[in-house]
Amino acid sequence: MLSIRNLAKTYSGGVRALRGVSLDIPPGMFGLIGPNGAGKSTFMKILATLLDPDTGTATLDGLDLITNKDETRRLLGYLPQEFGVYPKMSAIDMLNHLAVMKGITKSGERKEIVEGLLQQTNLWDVRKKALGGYSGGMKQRFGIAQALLANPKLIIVDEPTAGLDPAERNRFLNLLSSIGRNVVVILSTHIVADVRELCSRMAIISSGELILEGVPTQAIEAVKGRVWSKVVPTDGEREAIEKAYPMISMHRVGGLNEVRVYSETPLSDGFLPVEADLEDVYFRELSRHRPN
Amino acid sequence: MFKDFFLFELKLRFKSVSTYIYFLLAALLPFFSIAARDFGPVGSGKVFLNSPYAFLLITTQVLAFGSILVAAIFGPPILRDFNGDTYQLIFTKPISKFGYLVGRWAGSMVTAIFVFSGIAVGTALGTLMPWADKLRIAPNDFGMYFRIYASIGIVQIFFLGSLFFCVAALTRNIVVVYLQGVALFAFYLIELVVVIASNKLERAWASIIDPFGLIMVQSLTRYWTVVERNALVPHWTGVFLYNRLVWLSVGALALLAAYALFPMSAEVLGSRRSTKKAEEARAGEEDEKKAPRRVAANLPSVTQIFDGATTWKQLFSMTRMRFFNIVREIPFWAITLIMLVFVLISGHFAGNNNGVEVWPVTFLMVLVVSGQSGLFLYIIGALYAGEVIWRERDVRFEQIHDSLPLRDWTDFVSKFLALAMVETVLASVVLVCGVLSQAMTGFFRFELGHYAKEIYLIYLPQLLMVVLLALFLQTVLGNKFVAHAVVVGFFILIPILYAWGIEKRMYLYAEITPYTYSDMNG
Repeated sequence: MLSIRNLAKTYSGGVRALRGVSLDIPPGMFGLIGPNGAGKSTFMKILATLLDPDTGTATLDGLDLITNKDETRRLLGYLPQEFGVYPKMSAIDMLNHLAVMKGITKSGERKEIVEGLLQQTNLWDVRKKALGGYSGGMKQRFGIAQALLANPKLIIVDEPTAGLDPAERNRFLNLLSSIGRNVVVILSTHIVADVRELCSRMAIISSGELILEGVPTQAIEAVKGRVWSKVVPTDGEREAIEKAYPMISMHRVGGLNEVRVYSETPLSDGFLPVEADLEDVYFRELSRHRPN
Repeated sequence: MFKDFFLFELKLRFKSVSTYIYFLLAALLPFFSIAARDFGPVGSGKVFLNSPYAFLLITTQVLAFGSILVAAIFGPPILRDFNGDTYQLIFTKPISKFGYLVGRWAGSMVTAIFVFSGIAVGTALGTLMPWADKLRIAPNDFGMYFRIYASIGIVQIFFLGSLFFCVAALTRNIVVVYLQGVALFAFYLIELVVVIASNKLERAWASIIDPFGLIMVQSLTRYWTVVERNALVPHWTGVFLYNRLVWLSVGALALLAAYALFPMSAEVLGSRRSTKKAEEARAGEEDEKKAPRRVAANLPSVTQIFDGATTWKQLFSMTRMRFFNIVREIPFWAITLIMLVFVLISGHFAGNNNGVEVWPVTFLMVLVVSGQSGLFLYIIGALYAGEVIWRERDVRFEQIHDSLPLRDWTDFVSKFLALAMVETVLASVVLVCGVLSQAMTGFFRFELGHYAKEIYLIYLPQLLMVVLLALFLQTVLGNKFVAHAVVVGFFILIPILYAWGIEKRMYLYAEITPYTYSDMNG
């Protein structure tokens, strides 16, 4: 169990990236969603020992992550949102090197885990190629492989599926969820579907604050039957709806506007009930907490 | 069309830091040859340090040893499109071949002319230094600088640049471009050996076919008196004219060949370009087609051990990685190759003591090889100190790196050890060059013990002191280029301190008491 209490961080430029976030994260996949600039990366960097928070604590099964950086790094697997590679190193050399850094000094075990990861991430055939020549997807898979070295107890992956094609994304998410049953995995993403498919728990962060935390299916259950949809042809009609009802989202469908609104009571006036999904939860929570 | 490509090239070049670094490099040698009396090619005597003769020599030398810079300027404009894979975008647009090729060539030409104008700037700055020997400095004559720069510098830039440009355009492989530069040097060295071995005063042919003009300038000015050396600027007559014409036409032919043979089609370019990238692309494509091997993951479990032995293993692995990251870089090899050429040439003449031939005994040889290689090893030490300190940030690996369970001091020590390994290997190469040079002149009494003492106990520790200083400055100052500038400034500072009378070795970093070991006195 990872317990986070009142984590806050203000950057030297005055940006308040986190404003006191408290969370309990059990083992399993934990999805973190939120718009750009919500504070997701700051949150994850603090847990990955790269940033010191101004206030707050984070403890993993009794280990204080903030003060025991070295201990934390031993059980951490981290994939940053953006990273590069040493262009002249091959994947296998680099993974071997990183395995030594993570204390896997028995050479037989090191060989096994490195080769296993290269197989799992489908980099086996290109393992001796210089990393500088990797495509975006291959590089991302290398990043995944290095994060999973040394059986980490805490896995932090920041937008891991960015730049992967749908097949690669599936493969990665399967790998992660099969590893993530017994350890804490925090996954941040823009893609709400990633969270719905994989995560046993989730949180939505906006403007540095936690605005929802819970089980995805329960969150969907909570808005079930309260999401209504209407298709309107013109922007003027759309704006009228926006003023009258708490709007969740607007999509363009075949050149028309499909507007989704939240209402606890049934709506007439051309509105039809629709099956709620996690995206509706996400947009509703964001619009409810939009700072005015 | 031409104007667009030309201006684009200029904009790109003058925005890039490397252009200004090349400029500084070109200015460095002339600056020191004036500011530090015995550094330059003129030597002691009554010839002015900035006389036409001195400027002629320094310009020829900078262009010869700086041909690596010419390659670095004329290689990328074509290769850029292939390394960045933008060629598919470019060659599907209706662009003219003339505009594309000549525009980029002309942009590089202007850049190179700017870069090597550093020779004149360095010379002029050198004359202004307060500690420079005023008695041997004539007023700066910029007209003379320009005439010599035009007939040596710009002609060399045109010839070398067009050749490099042609090779880059036709092979689209940077390694071949650098190899071609090495081949030119080899051609020159062979010519030099032949000229010296033949021991004739008639050097007209050798001068005419000398690609760098070094032999030509030397034989041309050979019998100039002090007054002539202080006044004459070579005219385009005789051997000078023929040499310039030969290499101007080689440059023009290379340019024509590039224009005639460069295929303006993405398909041909794609199929003919270096196979490495294509292979990687193919590997990627095959990789896409393959079905995932196993869906459910079963990663083997491992034991993590964090004890003293692991710390040593981490240090070893980190050092090894940093070492290979340095020696796999092209600039490292370029600097090393130039150093080797420098050391071997001067090692060849180690026994020539002011015109008197003596045996190249070990004390002379050590003096020459360590003296000639010193500047290069300092440059490598300082340059790569910046690289190792900033490597993680530069390749954007710092977030993963910083979250590794690795102690800070292990990381720092690995940086120093990697550089120390590089310098030790290079110092050993210098030692071997000394022995080789002795053997080539038929002198076989190698004093290996003496070599080892001088190189490993005196020369190497000095280099390592500089490496430590550069690492320290890079860490404290927090900006790679500022720290480089401060390191350079530090070397300029020492002669200033000398001039002020601060000569106590205790106060001067990495300076040792000058001494002369000789076979007579020990």
